[in-house]
Amino acid sequence: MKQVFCYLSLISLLFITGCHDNTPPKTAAPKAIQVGIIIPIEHPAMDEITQGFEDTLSANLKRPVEFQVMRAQGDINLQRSMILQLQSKNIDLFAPIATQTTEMTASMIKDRPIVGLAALLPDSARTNSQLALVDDEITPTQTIQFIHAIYPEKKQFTIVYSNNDKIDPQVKEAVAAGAALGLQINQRMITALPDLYSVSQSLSPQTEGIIVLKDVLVVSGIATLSKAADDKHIPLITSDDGSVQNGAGFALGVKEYQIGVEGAKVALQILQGTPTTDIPVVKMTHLSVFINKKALALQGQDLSAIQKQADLQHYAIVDVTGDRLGAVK
Amino acid sequence: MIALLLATLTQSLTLIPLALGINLSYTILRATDMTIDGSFVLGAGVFAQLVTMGFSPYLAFAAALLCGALAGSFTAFLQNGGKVDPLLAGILSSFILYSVNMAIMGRPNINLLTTPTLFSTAFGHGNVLGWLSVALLIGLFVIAFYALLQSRLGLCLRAFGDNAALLSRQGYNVTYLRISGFGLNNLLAAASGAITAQIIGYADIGMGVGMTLVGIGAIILGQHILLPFIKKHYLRAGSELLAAFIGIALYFFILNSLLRLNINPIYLKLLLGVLLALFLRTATQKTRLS
Repeated sequence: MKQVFCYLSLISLLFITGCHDNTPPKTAAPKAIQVGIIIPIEHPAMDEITQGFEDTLSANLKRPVEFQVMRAQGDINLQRSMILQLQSKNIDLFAPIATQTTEMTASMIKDRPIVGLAALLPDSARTNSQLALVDDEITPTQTIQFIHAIYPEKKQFTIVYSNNDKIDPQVKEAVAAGAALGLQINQRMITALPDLYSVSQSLSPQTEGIIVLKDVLVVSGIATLSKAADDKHIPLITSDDGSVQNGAGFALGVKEYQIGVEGAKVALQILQGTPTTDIPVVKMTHLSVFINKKALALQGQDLSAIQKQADLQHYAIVDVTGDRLGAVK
Repeated sequence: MIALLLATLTQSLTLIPLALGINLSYTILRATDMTIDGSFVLGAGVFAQLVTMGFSPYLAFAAALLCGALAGSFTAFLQNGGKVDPLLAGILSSFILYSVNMAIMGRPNINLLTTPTLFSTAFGHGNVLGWLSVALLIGLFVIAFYALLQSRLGLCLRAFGDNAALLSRQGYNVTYLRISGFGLNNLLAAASGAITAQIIGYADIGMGVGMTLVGIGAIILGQHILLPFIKKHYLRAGSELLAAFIGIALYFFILNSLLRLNINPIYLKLLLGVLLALFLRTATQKTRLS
């Protein structure tokens, strides 16, 4: 009997607290637009996207807006619970970040608009839900052509990537683009972060550079590859600014903050009444070259060649050399 | 309040076959089968690949179940032929299944948002009908599983878990029983994977990570709560099933309740673990007293 009482007490406590309405009390002020942001995993890039989205939407929406940010910590069950919770809270607009999160949200939410940030989905995926997309990917062909333009004498590179839904086809495209330019691009796949050290220690001696695409798992261990690049005096070339801050030589990519800005512009259109079906997939076109002078020096690379090609191709150069490099070295 | 209960119910529903499978391996066969992490993805991957290739969802679902059973049979073969420890055999199979799943899927993620599935027509007519159709399918699995537990094969599987050596000395084919048990257990995990993929809209190579641990935790929780109250032996099979449901439901109930309290996700699993431990401690105290 005592046991039953204990169970019932625990369940009742959770039930009462779980059912507690956390929304602020109603006032005479106009009703705030509720936006639910779902972040699949902790990563600085996700925070920058969120910041860009929140700043732009708050500044441009004529009504007050409240953001409910959910962080799923890489747990699929937790992510599902969070989407269900947002659904029950009468969220006006969902903003999931990354492809998987967008897929799950679109599958579960049919009656409210969704702006998928940094998400790459086929057009057909948009038919059964109110889904708009901001595709953050630049084509790997652009990256390979840029690298070839900087290093026309180099013939062999290694691309390190993880088993990720977005990365897999991009790697194939990068290899094909390299072959078209007479480059041999060796592939090294990791399935978990600990694999990265083994990969960094088993690079082919003929490798003249390491390439990393916009790959969250590999980027989270970029210091390992940075060390290998320093030791071999070869460039470590990535596709996002965060990895350059943490030890890569340079990257051709987009600013994460800008992805959030573009997403907020799409959200504004939706909140002003434009149907999601009328909004085309937003592609990121403003490319930047992020450089880390300290890392380039350690990797024995010439900054002027990068600057020259960036100028020729009208890419903005962003120097992200900072204190974080010191922290990882 | 209703939202909390609905969230708990819908999340628990898709994982019931998984809980039944883990119940079979953990409680009846008395083995911790780590193959489940891989066969969960295998079921989702085979189903997703076949339906995107244009096969009927029914055929794809049947193929997913068959592949799950084959994966379990392979684990049993490793134990039997390879003389590998059951836990290690499961880990090895799960390891191998990662590559197999990638080869089957062809890419790490398959989108099912616009592909016809077993439930797409029902969900097209509304969520209530959609979830009823999911519940109907799950109900069929539960009935079939209960019938299995009450059958001669079910009793033999239980005896195999209790004392395989004795069963072998009495002339029973323990190899057949091992393959049947692990095959069925992984068939159920694959079913859960295929159903989950249809609900969440994709199959992903990483979607099985930690599923075994969640399942085992939930089963132990359910059993600790329910079994002290069940004294009659003829209620054993039914109470084990009920314990699996209670465990899974309680896990998601606590998870959803904590989320609604706006707990920082960094501490979510810590709190979830502490709460689960509280439930277990209450149950253990009762057992010790009795």
